Amino acid sequence: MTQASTTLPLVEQFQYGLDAPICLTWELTYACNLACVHCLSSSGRRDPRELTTAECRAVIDELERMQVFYVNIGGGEPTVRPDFWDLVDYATAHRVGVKFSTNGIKITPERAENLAASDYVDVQISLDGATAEVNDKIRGPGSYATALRAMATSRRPGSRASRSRWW
Amino acid sequence: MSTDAPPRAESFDLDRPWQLHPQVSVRPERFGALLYHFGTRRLSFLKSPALLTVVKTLGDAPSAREACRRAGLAQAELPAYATALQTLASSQMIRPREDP
Repeated sequence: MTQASTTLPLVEQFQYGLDAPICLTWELTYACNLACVHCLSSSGRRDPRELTTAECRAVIDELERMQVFYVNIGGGEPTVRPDFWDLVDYATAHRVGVKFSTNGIKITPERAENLAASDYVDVQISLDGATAEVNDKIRGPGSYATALRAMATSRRPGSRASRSRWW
Repeated sequence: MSTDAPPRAESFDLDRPWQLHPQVSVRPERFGALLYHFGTRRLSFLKSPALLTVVKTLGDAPSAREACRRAGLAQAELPAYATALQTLASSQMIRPREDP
């Protein structure tokens, strides 16, 4: 690296890009218990070619080497993978933060307790309507109740909640 | 002090011990470094390799002034670096260290 390259204004440095992504998105599985009308990834059935646990760990190892700060995990419904929680633990133990999207189907009180204890995990629970009537027309019968139950289960004193909108 | 106030060099205490916040990850880049705080979810840019050296040295130095000295900074550069450190302190990327 030349001295000149390090003294350029930051905005000009950006033309050279970063050494690695800040974060990236990982569709861990296409398996899903729902069939939302707008699904980006046409999820539902598990892709027989999806990565094995060992391959997923190897990806996380690579993210650690690249010093990617965090990974956004979606799918599909990532929590239906039996090794999902192990992979979350593996990532955070290797200082790769995890933000994952879920419909809430696997958020048990025990799991919520574990998640709340980690500084490196954020959970996004998906809703597509403010009422069961609207939401379930898009996401399927019972999905509103599932999401609200997962939110209630995850609520902790001091935990931070926010709402995002996609349109 | 409000974190919205513009940082001022004189408000940063160069003579006390500081440390990187334990929830912050540091990634060196060609321009300096990227910092990501897992607690606040904020990202910061360190705009020079020397500032990265200072930040990495803070935790082992008895004062921020000494960390700057170890990074090879000249006296005349200290005000600018104190401003940069104050910005990092305001966003909790670094914090005062309480030595036993």
